[in-house]
Amino acid sequence: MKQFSRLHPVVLFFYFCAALGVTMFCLNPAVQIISLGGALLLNLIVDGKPKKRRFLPLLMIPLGGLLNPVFSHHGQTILFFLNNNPVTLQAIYYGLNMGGTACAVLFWLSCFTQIMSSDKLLCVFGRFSPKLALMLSLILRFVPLLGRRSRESREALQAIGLFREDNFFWKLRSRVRVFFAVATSALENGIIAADSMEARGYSVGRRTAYSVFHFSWADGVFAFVSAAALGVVLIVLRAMQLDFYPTVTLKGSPVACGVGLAAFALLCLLPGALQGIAGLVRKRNIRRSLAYGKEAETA
Amino acid sequence: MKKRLLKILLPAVFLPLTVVLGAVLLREKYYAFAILAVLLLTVLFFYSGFERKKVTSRRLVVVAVMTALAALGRVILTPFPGVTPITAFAALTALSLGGEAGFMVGSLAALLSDFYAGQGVWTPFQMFAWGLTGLFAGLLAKQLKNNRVLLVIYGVIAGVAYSFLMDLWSVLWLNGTFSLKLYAAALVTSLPFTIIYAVTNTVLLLLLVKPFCKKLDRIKLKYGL
Repeated sequence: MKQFSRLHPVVLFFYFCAALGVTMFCLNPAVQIISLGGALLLNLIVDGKPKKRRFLPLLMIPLGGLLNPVFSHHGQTILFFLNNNPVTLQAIYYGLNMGGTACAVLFWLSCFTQIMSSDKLLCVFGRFSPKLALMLSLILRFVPLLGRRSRESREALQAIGLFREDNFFWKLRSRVRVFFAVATSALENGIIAADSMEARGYSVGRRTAYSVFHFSWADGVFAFVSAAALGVVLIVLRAMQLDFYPTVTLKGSPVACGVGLAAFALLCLLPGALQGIAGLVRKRNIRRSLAYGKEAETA
Repeated sequence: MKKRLLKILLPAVFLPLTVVLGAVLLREKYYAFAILAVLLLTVLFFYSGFERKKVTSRRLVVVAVMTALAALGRVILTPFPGVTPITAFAALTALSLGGEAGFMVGSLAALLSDFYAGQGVWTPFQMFAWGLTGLFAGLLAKQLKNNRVLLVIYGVIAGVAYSFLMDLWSVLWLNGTFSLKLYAAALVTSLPFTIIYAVTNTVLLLLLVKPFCKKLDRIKLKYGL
């Protein structure tokens, strides 16, 4: 069993696109709730102990419900009048739904940020655009390198007494001095790096991308299952849409909608389940091997 | 010249126009996503041009260094909300190396610093906004380089435009449709941020323009970029 976060980057990217796409383009509160549930589950499992601040986007749901009726006056059921403008029940529903969409997308993206690290993204995009991938990996190397250089430069300046923190003016001046020193040296060293790239055949022939990730059977199975679920959802997508104005009505047949929702639930809960079960199996195996070790010791 | 003009007009004028027209005229619910798609396409359009072009390794690395400096600056300055050096760096790069390099610095710095600050649906918007800042600075390079007053005006306009664009995004994102009233409300609430953006841009541009143009021009002269 493979954990979700260890699947092949292309599979992961496809999965996130599918989940995000359906969440964004399907106007149906059930879809939003399922999507939110799946994203939250994955978030909790990947993150372990998330901070309370991470759940702040949930506030977007009531915010959407409050804001939309103020600015939109479509809908049949008028609740009351605000500044001579009708506040309708349908507008509140629509606002809640939009808030739910926004919130679910944010949670999916938070999973995306945690799981798709920069090396995985490079693996995905390196195929399409090797030069851009090269540029990105150069920058990704430069960011920590420049941080290190600025520490060194600061220590050197401190040693000769030019880096002082006596007052605000000196603090600022010292930092600016470090910054300029680092910028100049980075540009100069960059040229050297470029020459060394050139010497190793940068401009000779077509660039290809190297990837450390291997496509295993687990990746294939996961990709197949999620693609199948996405296919079902796409076939019945029109039937799953809700009309909010003038009254809330389902566009297609309830059966088709139910099938679509079931497929979407499978799609959304799959990674959380996979990550959770694989984690539990791993823990059990570790416990067993520890117990076995103890037995061996006492025997 | 004609080709160049089209290349500039297409992403800088027609696409935003499509976005605004689409938001006002269309009676559908998915502008936010349509716009997201348009922005991603625009950025990809630029990147594909970059992919096809023969870029010397020296130029590539210099642009990468400037992007890294911008991204690092944003990461370091995260404790101060609204203060980011990306606009300034995109513009500075564009002054010496041209608009396309400026676009690359602005958009890639946005993308990469969001690895630290958190990726989101706003990432394409930031990439687009900061990229354009660099592109326009490249177009006006001659004037901006020699005139401090114009530079200040540019910094202020870039900050205000960035804030307006991001507010457009928040309205579409929360509401699903464009609403002028909601947009106005969003503009008013984000006024402090608009001011911070404008001030940061101006101060950084004024501080950095001379030393950085000197550094980049020197590298250009010394190594022939």
